[in-house]
Amino acid sequence: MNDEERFEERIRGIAASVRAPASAYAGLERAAATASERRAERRWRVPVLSAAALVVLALIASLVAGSVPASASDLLARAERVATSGSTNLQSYRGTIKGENWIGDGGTRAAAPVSYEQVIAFGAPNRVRIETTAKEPGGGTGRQVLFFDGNAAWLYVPDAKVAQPIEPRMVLSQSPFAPSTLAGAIEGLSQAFEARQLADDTVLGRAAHVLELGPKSPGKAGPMVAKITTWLDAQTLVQLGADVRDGQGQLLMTWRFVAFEPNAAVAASNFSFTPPAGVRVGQVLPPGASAPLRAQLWAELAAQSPFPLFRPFCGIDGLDEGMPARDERGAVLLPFSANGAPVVVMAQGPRAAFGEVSGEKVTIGDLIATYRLADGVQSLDFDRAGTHVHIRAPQPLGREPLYHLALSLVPVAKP
Amino acid sequence: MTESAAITVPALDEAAQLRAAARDPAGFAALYRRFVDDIYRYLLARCGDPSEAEDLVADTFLAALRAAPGYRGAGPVKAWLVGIARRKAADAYRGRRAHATLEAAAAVADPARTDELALERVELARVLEATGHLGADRAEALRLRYFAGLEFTEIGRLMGRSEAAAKMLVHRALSDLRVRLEDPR
Repeated sequence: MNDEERFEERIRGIAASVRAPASAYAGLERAAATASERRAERRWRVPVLSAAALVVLALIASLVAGSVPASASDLLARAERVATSGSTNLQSYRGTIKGENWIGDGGTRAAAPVSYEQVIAFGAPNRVRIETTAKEPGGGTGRQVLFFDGNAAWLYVPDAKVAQPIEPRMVLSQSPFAPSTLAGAIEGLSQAFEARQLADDTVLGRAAHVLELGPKSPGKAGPMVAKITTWLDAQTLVQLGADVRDGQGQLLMTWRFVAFEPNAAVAASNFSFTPPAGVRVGQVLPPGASAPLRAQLWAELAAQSPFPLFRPFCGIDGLDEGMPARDERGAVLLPFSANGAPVVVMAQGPRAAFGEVSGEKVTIGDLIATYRLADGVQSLDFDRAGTHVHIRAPQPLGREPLYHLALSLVPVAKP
Repeated sequence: MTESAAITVPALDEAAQLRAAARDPAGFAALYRRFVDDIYRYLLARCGDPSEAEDLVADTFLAALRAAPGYRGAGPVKAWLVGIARRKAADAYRGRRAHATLEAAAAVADPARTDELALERVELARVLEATGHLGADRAEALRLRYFAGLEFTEIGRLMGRSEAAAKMLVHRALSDLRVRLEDPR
């Protein structure tokens, strides 16, 4: 190997040392959730998401100072500047939005709309509480609440008794629910749309300026959106309503404020959230949405593992079951996490992949296992059908959760 | 065994994974796990900031998920994903110069590895820094080759060059990089 080749190998090795951090996998769950929402015939969540995106637009406008710009482009430019630096003009508001959404599975226009309602409380500069209820044509309903108190953001689904803390950085970059995406969203708006001002109108008895936005590039605005008409409150520049249309002029989405009270008294407690007793902190997904994802991964791993693989049919109270994955030695890992941090990890693999086990011999149903608590770390080891199972809890939970997990294992069929 | 061991990806046919991604979130999960490191490496080398690279990774895979039904199977899936990542990076960083810090490099080096490889982290930072000072085409060819792990044919296709031209770009990029690393002035 000459010097050039050695240098090339060095660069190759340095590049190979980079691995996507564990947090990058959050994108998988997020994307999988998006995909599930599109495909799982739970269209009520689409208007929930989309409506929330429009609320973001409403909140963008709410940050804009009240004087009337000379032109549509000025208005957008002012909105962009004020959105990034805040406004003292509007301290709070309460309002209710009603709307309909035709954007269906796969981004196509549905035959019938999903209707939705959002009850909003807003406090400057970016605190917000949005309770969204959506109803699909078949009668199915969904409800969720977003809280952001300026520091922490939560998404709460009361019916499923699950709440998800939203990472601020994820919120900033991705979530349409996030009030803190205001700056980015309006930057995107002005970059993606040309604006022209139409004749003033009235909404809820309030004078409103009307802007018509057309995408500078169709690809930037999504494949369907050809025109957005938006009504801005003349006094506060809060967005009071919007119509989104496709290239044929058909409505894709329409919404209006049906109640709006600027500078209302809104207590700070509206924006904060603490999960009540009985509420699981975890990933907010439509019920069952992740089931096919998990089943497919388990099946793939079972097909590629030379040992029988088992998956639990019940979890651990208070912990989120993560995604199964294989480690570099061929063992299959399954994490159970709280707020994203693994609390329990179950590993399965050939006996040789694990070290010697010592501890207390225990009988759990028909299993003979070894239980150990040392240096604050709990572990349970046993063999089943030639597979070694190692359950490890760095933060001791007591024996019961580990025992229940062991008893709940069922074989994964190879596809 | 340890729980911090690196996660590897089930070996499945790439095109099948992409087709699965178009139909089912399970397919997308497999696709993501298979390519996330390559896409992250490339985006990190491109933008120099681990947090922004993570965001761009998510943007890339979300865009891929949406575009998967239209995938015609021309070329490897990884090259297709890198193409999407390039566009995402270009959109996000148009007009900005990538710049990596030592802290950034320390943050992105494989956390499962030990401190004995601290030198490698520093070297990564130096390489990213030096790459940012290369000619744009050479730097991009180098990133596509060593960080994204693409073949010369794919690099050429993405950059609108022949395979031979791509090979030459990478060769010259390596030479320039070597000079710059040995004499950073």
